[in-house]
Amino acid sequence: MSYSAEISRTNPSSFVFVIDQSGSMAEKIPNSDPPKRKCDAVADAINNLLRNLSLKCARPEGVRDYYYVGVIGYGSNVGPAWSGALAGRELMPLSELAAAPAKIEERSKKVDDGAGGLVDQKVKFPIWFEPVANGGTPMCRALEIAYQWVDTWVKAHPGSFPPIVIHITDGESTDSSDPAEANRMVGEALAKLKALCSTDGNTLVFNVHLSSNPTARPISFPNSSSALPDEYSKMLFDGASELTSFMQTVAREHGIDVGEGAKSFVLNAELTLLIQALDIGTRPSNLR
Amino acid sequence: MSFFVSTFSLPKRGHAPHENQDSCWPSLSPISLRRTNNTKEFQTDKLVTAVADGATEGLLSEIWSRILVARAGRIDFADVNGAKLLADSRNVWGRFKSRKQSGGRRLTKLPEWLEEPSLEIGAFATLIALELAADHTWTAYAVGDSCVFHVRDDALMLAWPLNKADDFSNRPYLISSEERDDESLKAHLIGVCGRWAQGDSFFLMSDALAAWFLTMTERDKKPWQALRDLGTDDAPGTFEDFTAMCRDKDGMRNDDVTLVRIDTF
Repeated sequence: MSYSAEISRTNPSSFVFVIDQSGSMAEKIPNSDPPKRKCDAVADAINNLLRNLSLKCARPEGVRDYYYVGVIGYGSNVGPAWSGALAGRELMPLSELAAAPAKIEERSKKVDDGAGGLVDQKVKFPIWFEPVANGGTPMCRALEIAYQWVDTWVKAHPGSFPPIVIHITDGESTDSSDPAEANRMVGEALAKLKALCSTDGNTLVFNVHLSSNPTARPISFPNSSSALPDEYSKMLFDGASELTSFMQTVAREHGIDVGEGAKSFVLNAELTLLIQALDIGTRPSNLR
Repeated sequence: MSFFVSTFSLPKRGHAPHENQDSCWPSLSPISLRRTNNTKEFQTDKLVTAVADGATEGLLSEIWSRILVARAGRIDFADVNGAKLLADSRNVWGRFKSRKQSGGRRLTKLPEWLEEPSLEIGAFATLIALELAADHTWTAYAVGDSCVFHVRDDALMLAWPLNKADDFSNRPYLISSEERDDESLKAHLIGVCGRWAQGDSFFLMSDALAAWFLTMTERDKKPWQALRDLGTDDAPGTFEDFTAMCRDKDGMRNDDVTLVRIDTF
């Protein structure tokens, strides 16, 4: 049965984030309150996810390396996108990541005051990945790097729970001056990535498309491309993997009605859907 | 009355003994030794046994599960309610943390930014406790999916609180060391009682072994026969051998495995 391998220190799995850092990521995410730039929302979501993953893997003796994690940014530069002391590192064990955030900020979160109200509580918020919005959208070059990382990973960990690649973008590839050709190239790159496999299944690819249009209707985890508006969204749909049954369960916990064959693809995501998609894609299912 | 109690516990495959997050009561050997089994005769009018399964998602869940079984083992079943058990256990938990952290000492080897939120989340565990009384009554209470099985004359009398292998999920209700919602705990704390006869056996188990047990009964097998012999000269192998066989042949989940067996005389 696919996607059932235990995730343990001796048989870890991996996450690769491929993040659009093009100039358009400086635009505000529609309907966010308070207004938030897309690049800030993505950086917060990724840092929060890594914080939560570290918490889930925390044991008294240290953070257990159930996962290796890497992030690739693409915009004016293409490549590993960690900040601080980890700059330039590729896939790396979670314990090393937890030990070396670039900085630790103080953020506020609302907590129950015990009397029916909410109060602000200060929390330490580690930053590994900083917002960047600059340049074009060389999506294929980034996906090629992801392919190399994942290829190396599955060869070294042939029995692992397959790598999960989460690709977040708000735009169309600029790898070719011809949009149709660029679209075809991205489709090919995604198909190549998805074909990489361990004995437990193929690499799982999530495509999360951020909305630029305040009136656009979000489409989350469809199982058919018939309602998608254009060739570009159909390409991202085709390039995404089917949700595993555990991911379907997590999606339903979020109140998202997913059908059989639902794809790990969202179009025109707003902030809430972005965070939900990251949770659905990265919630640990079989830690040992 | 005379009861023979045998306890067995092993960590997940690939884990060290000190990483075992299950606990049981009575604790028949010093925790630091973590021997995998032990047997002792109890001459008593009231025997209390318990199993708690510490959850992987909580920091120090092995300490929390140990506290829960020890408190459950000392609480009068006539007065049992979730609030008292929880309050007693949290007091012990709080003292444990304060003692460890006294003088600014760190409680873990985690990066500094991570220790505080990890401790705020706290620890989690399931619990099942069973009391056998001299008047031949028994009472059990449970939170979560650790189970008790009652066997008489080579027949299964009761499987509780779960009685089908499919009932086990990855998300049982867990007792939190930090959560203050006692109403929620009360809603999930359930009890059952019955009568026992001389010669009856009871088996308390954490979830992986309980799921295996029910799977076997659903295949018209008698899994208690193998469990009954464990630790005796009649057993074909050790508890380690038995657990390895269940994992490899019968597909038992790779989890911490704990068994408390009570034989009545």
